[in-house]
Amino acid sequence: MAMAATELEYRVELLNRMVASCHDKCSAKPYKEGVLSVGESSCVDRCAAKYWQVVAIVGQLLGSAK
Amino acid sequence: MQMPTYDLMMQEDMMNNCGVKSAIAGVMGGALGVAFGVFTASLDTQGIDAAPMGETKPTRQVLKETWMLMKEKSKSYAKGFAGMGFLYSGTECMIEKYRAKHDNWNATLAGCATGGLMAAPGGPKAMCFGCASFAAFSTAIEYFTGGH
Repeated sequence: MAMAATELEYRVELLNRMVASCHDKCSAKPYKEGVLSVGESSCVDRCAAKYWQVVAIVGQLLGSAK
Repeated sequence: MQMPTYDLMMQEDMMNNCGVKSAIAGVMGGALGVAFGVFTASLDTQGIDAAPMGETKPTRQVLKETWMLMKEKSKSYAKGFAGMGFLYSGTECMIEKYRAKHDNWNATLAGCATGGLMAAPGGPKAMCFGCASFAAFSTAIEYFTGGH
């Protein structure tokens, strides 16, 4: 049960970091409007996909390094 | 602030679709072209209300001929503006999606593509000139109407 709680915490932390990183990289500063434009949403798509891919690769490496 | 609902996200997705955007721009360009045609026809009547000396042309005929002129001009302007709006909006959306950046260069590149494509019947020199002029125009418009 404690393992599940820790796993959930890790997942939330992962999501928060992904959001922070992609928001940092993709939103055009200064903010001119409150809606994601076409380019920004395509950037966010790509950023999230890359982030997940990196997480998967690093997880595999960590798993196989044991 | 709240998390966006599913409906809102679907709506945004639909608006971010390049096909939808270009179709909307084409329709609005057509409407603008119609307004422009009506306005131009009323400015330059091309001698419709002229008549030989001493007579007056019957009003009904003047109105009919004016209506035909307005229809003609509206159609030609509407085609031009609709095509331009469609091309510009489509290329800008595609370029912005590809670059994944939101700045003023999208307007410049889309303007160049639109101007070049629309001047294509005139040959390569006309294409270069059209590209440069339309790119400058659309960059200026983007800058002055709250660009980045």
